[in-house]
Amino acid sequence: MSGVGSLVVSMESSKLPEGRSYLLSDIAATGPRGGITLTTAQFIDTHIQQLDEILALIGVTLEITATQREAAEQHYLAIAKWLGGVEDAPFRLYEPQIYPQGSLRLGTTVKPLSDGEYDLDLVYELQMDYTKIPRPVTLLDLIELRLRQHGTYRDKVERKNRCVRVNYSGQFHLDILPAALDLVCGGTCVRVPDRTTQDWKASNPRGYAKFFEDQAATATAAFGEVAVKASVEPLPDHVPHEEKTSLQRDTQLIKRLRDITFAGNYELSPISIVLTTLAAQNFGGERSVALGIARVFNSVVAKIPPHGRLYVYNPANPEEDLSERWDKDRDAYSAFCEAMRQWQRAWNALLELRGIDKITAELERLFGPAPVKRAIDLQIKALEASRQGGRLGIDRNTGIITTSVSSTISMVPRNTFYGD
Amino acid sequence: MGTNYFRKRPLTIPQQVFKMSSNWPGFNFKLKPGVALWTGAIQPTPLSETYTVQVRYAIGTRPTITVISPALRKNAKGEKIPHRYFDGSLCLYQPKYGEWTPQLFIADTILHWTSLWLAHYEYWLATGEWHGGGEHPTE
Repeated sequence: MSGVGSLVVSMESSKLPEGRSYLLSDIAATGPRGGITLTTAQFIDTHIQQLDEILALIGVTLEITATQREAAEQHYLAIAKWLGGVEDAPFRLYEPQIYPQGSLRLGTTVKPLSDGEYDLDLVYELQMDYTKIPRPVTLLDLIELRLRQHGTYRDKVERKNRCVRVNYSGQFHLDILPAALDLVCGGTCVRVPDRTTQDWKASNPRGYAKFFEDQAATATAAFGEVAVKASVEPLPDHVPHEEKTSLQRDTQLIKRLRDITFAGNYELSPISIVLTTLAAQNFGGERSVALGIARVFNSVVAKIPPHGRLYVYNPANPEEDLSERWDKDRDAYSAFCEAMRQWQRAWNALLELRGIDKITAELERLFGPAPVKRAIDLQIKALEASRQGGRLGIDRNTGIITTSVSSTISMVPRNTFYGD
Repeated sequence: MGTNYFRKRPLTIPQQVFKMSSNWPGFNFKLKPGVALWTGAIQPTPLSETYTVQVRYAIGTRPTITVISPALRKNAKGEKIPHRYFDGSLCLYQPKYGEWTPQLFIADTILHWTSLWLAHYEYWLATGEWHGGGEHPTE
């Protein structure tokens, strides 16, 4: 089952709470099952709001479902327990801290295309100076060994360059990334082993999450800092799409665009962390997702240098080049630049496009037909519900149908369309 | 104003014209012998196209609403546009329910329904489904 349940339309037209965006008050969550309520307090006022509503409804269907998230959490906690919670766990003396990183931590997960899997990234951080560990790859080996001692994980383990992967076929893979403290860099900086170079790589997953949250908070009230100091940090609480920050929603939609654009050549596809960083760094504080995404594309395209390449560093640790793959893979870099330019053109044209059918067709091309059809259906049903409730008015200056109230708005009387 | 006796009489063309020009200043009015013609722009939703529509009304007939531009289209499935009269004008109300009568102002009813019809038309083009309800003549 996907995330959107039944459409419930509130019969009372409520006032918009102060300081909340149109969208957040318009589409309110009704609990963990992911049903949504369209109150249509203000059906539509500007084309940006109407587009934002469609984009929010698309985003709702791209969310991980409550069931999938529970499964992810169970896998995460079980693995964390096996790695960190028992007597003979490796590195027990170094007080490993286990915490999530990546999209589940940031709240930017998107439903994979039909054949894809969710990835869940987990950091296994030893409270010791990395320079005291003679062979970086030992960390990876010991984690792999530990996992192979467990009946459930034995056959699911896969060695990767910087992590050990546990495959839950068809739904998830869980990447365990060992890390040790980088005291010179300080703060939450860590070093992670790299198999290929047999060396350490700089990183800072906690700092990155903080950076992303701080950027997101430039548009909305900061969400409460998760100050859990337990050795196993829980996954962040599940936040329904419509309560997410606009940066989280921008990022989700950009990742979905990537999934659709690169469906045929996944190997060239820009990785999520690069897109997420670009979205956050170029975020302008827009509450509107339509305008926020436009800003990101315009500003990234402007930063693509004429020669050489674009570098995307971890903002919390400039030693970590998140885009290092582009050094070797020029095709992937060209594909990224081309995609960015295409997205920029398409998005700016979308903002100017008129005609629900034309906009629907373009959104279907960009995000895939299924989530768009669903969004458009929900929007028209919300309009009809307002009509049935006798709450529709018409702005006599434009002819635009609205649920707002002002002196130029006159109520739409009841009617029955008739004839063939 | 306002006894039952007067309310039962159809509104006159000048009454309709006066209300149209005060409520819908963007609409142009032309009077042909016995026939009032209004032409103006309606954009049913902010993301919609802006349509030029014409309302034609003569005492003793129903108001006729025609979309002049952009031309109405079949949907992607090639289906014909729902809820129109044979001449292509829009079927906005069910006559037998008295939703519109000559005692009502066009400015308070017909234009609203035209915009609603256009909104549903665009969603119909987009989804292939008419979500606006309505009735079809039996037979």
